[in-house]
Amino acid sequence: MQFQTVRFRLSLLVVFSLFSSALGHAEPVTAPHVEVQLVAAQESFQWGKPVRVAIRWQIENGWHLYWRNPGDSGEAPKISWKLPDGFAVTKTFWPTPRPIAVPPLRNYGFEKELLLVSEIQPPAAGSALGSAPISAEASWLVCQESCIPGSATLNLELPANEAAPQPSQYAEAFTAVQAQWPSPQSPWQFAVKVEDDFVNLEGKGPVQFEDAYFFANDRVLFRHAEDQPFEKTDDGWRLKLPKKNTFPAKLERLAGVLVVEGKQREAFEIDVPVAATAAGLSQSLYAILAAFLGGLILNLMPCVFPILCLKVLSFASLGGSTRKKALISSAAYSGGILVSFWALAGTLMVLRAGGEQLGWGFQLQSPYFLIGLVVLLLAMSLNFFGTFEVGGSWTGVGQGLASQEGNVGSFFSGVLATLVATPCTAPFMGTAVGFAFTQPAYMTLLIFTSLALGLAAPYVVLALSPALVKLLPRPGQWMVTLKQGMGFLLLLTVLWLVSVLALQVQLASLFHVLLALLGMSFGLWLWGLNGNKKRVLAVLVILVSGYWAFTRGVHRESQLEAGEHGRWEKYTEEAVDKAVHEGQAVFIDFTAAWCITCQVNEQVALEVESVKKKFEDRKVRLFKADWTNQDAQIAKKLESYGRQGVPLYVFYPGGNQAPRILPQILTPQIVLDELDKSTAPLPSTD
Amino acid sequence: MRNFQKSILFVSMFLSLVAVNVAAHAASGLAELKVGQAAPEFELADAAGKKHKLSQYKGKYVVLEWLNHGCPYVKKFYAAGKMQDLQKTYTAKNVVWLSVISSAAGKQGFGTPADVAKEQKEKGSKATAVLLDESGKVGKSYGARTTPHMYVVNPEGKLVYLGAMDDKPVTEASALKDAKNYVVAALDASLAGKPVETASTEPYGCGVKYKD
Repeated sequence: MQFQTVRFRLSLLVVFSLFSSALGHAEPVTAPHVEVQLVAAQESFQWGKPVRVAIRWQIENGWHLYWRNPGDSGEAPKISWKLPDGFAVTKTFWPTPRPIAVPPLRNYGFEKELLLVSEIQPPAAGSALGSAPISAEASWLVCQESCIPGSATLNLELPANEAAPQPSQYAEAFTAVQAQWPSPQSPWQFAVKVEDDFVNLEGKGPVQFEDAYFFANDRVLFRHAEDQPFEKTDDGWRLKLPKKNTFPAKLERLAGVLVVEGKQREAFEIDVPVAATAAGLSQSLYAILAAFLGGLILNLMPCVFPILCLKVLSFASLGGSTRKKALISSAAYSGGILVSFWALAGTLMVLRAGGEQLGWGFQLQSPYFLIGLVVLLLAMSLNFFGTFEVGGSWTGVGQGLASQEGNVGSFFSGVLATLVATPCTAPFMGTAVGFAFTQPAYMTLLIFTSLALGLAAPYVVLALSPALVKLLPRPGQWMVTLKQGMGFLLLLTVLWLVSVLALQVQLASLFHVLLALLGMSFGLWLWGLNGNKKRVLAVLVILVSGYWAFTRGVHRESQLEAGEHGRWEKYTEEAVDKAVHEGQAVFIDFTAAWCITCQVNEQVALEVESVKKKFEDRKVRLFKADWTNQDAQIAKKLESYGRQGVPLYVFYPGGNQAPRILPQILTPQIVLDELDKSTAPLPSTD
Repeated sequence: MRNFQKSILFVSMFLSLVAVNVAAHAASGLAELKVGQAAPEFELADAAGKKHKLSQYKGKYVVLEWLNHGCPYVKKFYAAGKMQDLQKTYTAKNVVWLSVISSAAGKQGFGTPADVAKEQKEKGSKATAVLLDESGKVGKSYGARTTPHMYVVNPEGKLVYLGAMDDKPVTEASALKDAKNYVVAALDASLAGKPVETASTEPYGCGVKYKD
């Protein structure tokens, strides 16, 4: 078998090798129906400055090569680069292809010539190398009616030079080919709608052309040989792309090259998110169910758990009261949660409609909100410690230990539960919330409602089943003790929120916040001492402290830049694209300081020895996308994975394999398995 | 009488709609079949002149393989003996394996019955039969785009797999080793009474050399 393979390859492939070291180019290699050459745009290169090289195929008349999506048959040319250490190919520029009709089939490709330009980035610091040996193994399929595979090893020696490089004899060809590159910017606002047999690609904007054609990057999507009916609409145009039977059940983005035929032929590189058109019933039901489950689990998350505990406590104290009262109280609590979730969803929708890139937990990106939350939680904890009592019981939680909790109090404890729940994400929630924002408004609201009901459910269930309430111990001293214990949990939350705040404001302002917190505590203590004069003073102190916190405490300047990420590189889209393009394995951790789930995952699953070692063994580039502060780039990226919030873990196994998305709750095993699973051999390029 | 006229009008409207539809779909001349659909019936002669109908194999699994020995992607499978191995393995399991040549006269892959018989022997084909579809009619009715393009038909005459042979769309024989073979997976699952996991893939290879 092995022998056969070798013989087969020798007889079938014409392999040429040539080692030459002329300036700016290597001698062309002759293969059946093509001449191939590796050329550079300049005679030399400077360290740290990108240099453009190209594989140039000159194709015999009547024969053709293929585009990255070859169409109905054929195969795209492949290049495997061998570069000196530190050098990397950062971009490859495909010219706009032409449809090549071979009825009843249609291919996408190039006739006469293909100049496939790649950009190489040399390392910044010059090494001892006087020149850089650049080598490319190119393989291709050239077809007329029949097809012949070919391959060649092409070498080029490019000298390093301090001086600005001289253009090579091929510089003009490099300039000329740019006219064939699709433009990255287009004048239209796109929408992609998936229908039964077609995908509608719609452009809003000027229509100074009569026809258009879309070359999809992915060959499994459309029937290449079929017409793509074009029509003008009220505010733009529409192109109907005929779906193929291999069209995936879920398409997130549509990417490719759009060519419009007007006075001249113009091409645009486009990459458009696919609108979830009135998602199927089952999909919507799933999202609603997932939201409910997510809400339910949210109760167990560290941020919400104390609140739930206290609600249950208040139940124990309600023990002897009537069922009716319990019902009303739980209804008020649920109402509080519902109203705040609606407010949250509404706010998000309005802001997003205004073009803001926001997602779940966005409010924690605001230092004002954070300070407000810290103040509230500190006041609550002091209340739990018994430092003061609030007559009107507006904070509600736990107020009804001895007395009975007011319904207004119940309502606000629902609001409070929602407030503190927002930094947490539970399993199922990410997908549900992500889905929610791709849907029409009513669906978004429905999903948020389901989330709210899930959060309220445990308490409501308790209220509706007296048998469960009876299981709780009788009221007594233990309740006071538990309440005080919970006070410490709240203080813990306060500490954590302050540490989040520390990443958003200057260190000096943080001191003012802490000062104000002390002032407020003092004020509340004064209030607790009773007596009218003291209370007036207390109100005064509290007001001053609040004012102090909100004015002095918010000098926004991120400390993030200086943040120490260690092995983790700071996420930028360019860096990741570059690494992925070079075939490196890449792991991206989308995280935020205010996201507890993220912090826990990092500690439990990412920063453990076994995983760290595996990352190293597999040579995985690690990127941290920190969303603690607003960042449109990251928000957009999250959206491209169908998410509106963190955590999100994306793993590119390398070698141009598709990225994988890991679960929201990680264990070391999950990460290790994922790394092992995708160690599959890379497609061979020889 | 009025009703009669009405129904005539109705029927003719319906017919013209059908006609428009058919015309629209005939635009490229290639059918687009889906998994679960009935495999189109055909009758083709093999190199010895013997006629084969799809329906005569009802009750058995049938593999259809679009063939052109001049195509480097087909060569990948034949030169390494891979295709012959598969043909041998599955015909031994009572599967009918039909290779179909849809190349038009004068085009690559085309051969007279004598040429085809000779080639079949030289290549060591273990297919049940190699069928000649010079007009391309059968190829187009299956929407066969490339060589190879594979179809698996179940004993009820329904398509259970259509698409590529494997997941490595290259001509290099070295890629055979690590390839995931979709046809093998489809046949093994079907023969074991299980559903086919990947039932539809994008075929790769040379274009089928249909008549102009």
